[in-house]
Amino acid sequence: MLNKIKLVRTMLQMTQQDLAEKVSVSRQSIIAIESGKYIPSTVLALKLAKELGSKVEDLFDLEAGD
Amino acid sequence: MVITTLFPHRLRRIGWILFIPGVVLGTFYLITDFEWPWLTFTIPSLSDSEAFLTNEPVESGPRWRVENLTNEFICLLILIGSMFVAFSKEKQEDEFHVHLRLSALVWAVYVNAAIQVLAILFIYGIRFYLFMATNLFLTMILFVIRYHLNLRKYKALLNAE
Repeated sequence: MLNKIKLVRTMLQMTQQDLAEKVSVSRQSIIAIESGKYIPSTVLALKLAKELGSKVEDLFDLEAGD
Repeated sequence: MVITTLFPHRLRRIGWILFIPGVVLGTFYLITDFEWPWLTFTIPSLSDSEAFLTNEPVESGPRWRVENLTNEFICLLILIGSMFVAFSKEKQEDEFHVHLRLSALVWAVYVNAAIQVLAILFIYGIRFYLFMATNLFLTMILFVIRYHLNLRKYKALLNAE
């Protein structure tokens, strides 16, 4: 699963800590999601999309093999 | 998804205080078979047998017996300590920690099963029973190591941004 969270977050000049606080998770979670090591739940994906002002499908994209 | 049946975060430190001395003492106990005389008590026993690894039918039901509890004490240190260390909430528990816990638990069970297979095939006699006694804690020990190494890996990235 590819995601553009880091790209959108930096465009919005938001730190990982800012985003983590807004969606009520640890910064470790944001790091893991941005690096593609962890795929968030639907609830968290929706929260991330809301805080980043995007749609879930604009933030996440399937890779070959998903 | 957040697991609600975890221990409070403050028990993590107590867990380490119990777990580390428990593992050190347990290793020392296996090597030297030492006993603390002050831990000898008359205790109730639900079931025991004095005839270990023999065919003698010397089984006993519930009774009182004099027992040195050094090994029981060490076992409880490791068991309770590892439970607190493994299953205490993080300061900010979230679904990523649930994911890390589950991954570490599956890994620990697989590795433990592999070790058990090797033990079944290659360890015999009294040493097999000694191995099985220590194996009581191996899954938890492997889980604690794996989970905290993974957690540390992500903590190390916290200064990256």
